[in-house]
Amino acid sequence: MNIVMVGGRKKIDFLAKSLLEKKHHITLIHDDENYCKYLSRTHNAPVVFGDGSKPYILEDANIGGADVIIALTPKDADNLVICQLAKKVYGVKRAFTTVSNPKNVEVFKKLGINSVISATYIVAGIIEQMAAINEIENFISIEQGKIVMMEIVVRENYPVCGKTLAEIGFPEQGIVGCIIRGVNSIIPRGKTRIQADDKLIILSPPKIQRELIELIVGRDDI
Amino acid sequence: MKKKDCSYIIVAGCSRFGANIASMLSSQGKDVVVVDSNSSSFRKLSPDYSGFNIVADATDIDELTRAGIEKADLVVAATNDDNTNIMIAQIASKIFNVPKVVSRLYDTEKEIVYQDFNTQIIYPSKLSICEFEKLISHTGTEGLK
Repeated sequence: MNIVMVGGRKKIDFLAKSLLEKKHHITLIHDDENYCKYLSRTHNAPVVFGDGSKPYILEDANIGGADVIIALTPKDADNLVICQLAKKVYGVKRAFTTVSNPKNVEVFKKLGINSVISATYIVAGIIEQMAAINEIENFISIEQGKIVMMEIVVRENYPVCGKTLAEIGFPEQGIVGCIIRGVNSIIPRGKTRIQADDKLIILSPPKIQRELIELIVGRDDI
Repeated sequence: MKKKDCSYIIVAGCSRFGANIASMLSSQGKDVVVVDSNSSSFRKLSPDYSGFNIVADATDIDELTRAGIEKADLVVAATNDDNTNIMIAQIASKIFNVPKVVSRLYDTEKEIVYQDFNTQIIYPSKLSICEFEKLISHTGTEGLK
């Protein structure tokens, strides 16, 4: 894929490395000349120095041939304009951006930019969950928190230990999507039996999350 | 319920342009609110300006709501930054359905992002060129020869 990335320091550096490893063609745009020099030394990719919200800079980066634009500048307004120019003028199919103000996730959606990530929003959500419930090993919020994915490691004293999924009777909206047992991963069926030290990967809407944890852990002091 | 046409106005950005427009509208008896992230910008307002000042980021929807954008008849995006103006104008017209939105835009190449939005644009660069042409045609081209 041809990817154009604009602005951002650690983010663009890290993402460039990871995308190059996956054999994507990337072009970087940054408005700090010294940082451009650093990027150009570090990565095997064309680097354009300039304001990425200006059409002629985007053209220098060959935006016309890009499949994806990623805007990572610190200013939300700049990111909005970069994504809108790329989509409206140059026909780029997919636009991704980060916003510093979490409220702008909704604002950007209403203005036609759908893939918006707010680091503040995501990090706050994760910390809140992990701090509140210590049974959760890992927690990911999907679709702005409409669905959550959590990992729970089963202990011997949990009521679900030794039972099959059918016996446990999960609520309709929640599902155990995968069980990690040692090095194996199992896609469970109703007759799959849960053992101690299994890691359950559970998908559910947030409102029944507490109910699910109670069901698995067997107490409600969480 | 509207009192009269264009009676509640939000000016986002207390630039020279924004400050003068706010002062002018205020002297015409309109209710004006100026929003700027820097409190020292308000010194540019004329001494008889009688509207409100709010120190805030005008691209933040909560701050705009606090400034009363829901009942605004006119929003003027007058910051010194094109991208900020574009964002404010789009928020005003698309999210809050403000009946009249005016935005300043220096870079004519960015005009296309205003497509599909009910926004009127002032181009300082185009206006300067028009004025220049007028001056030249008045004095005639003889003066240049």
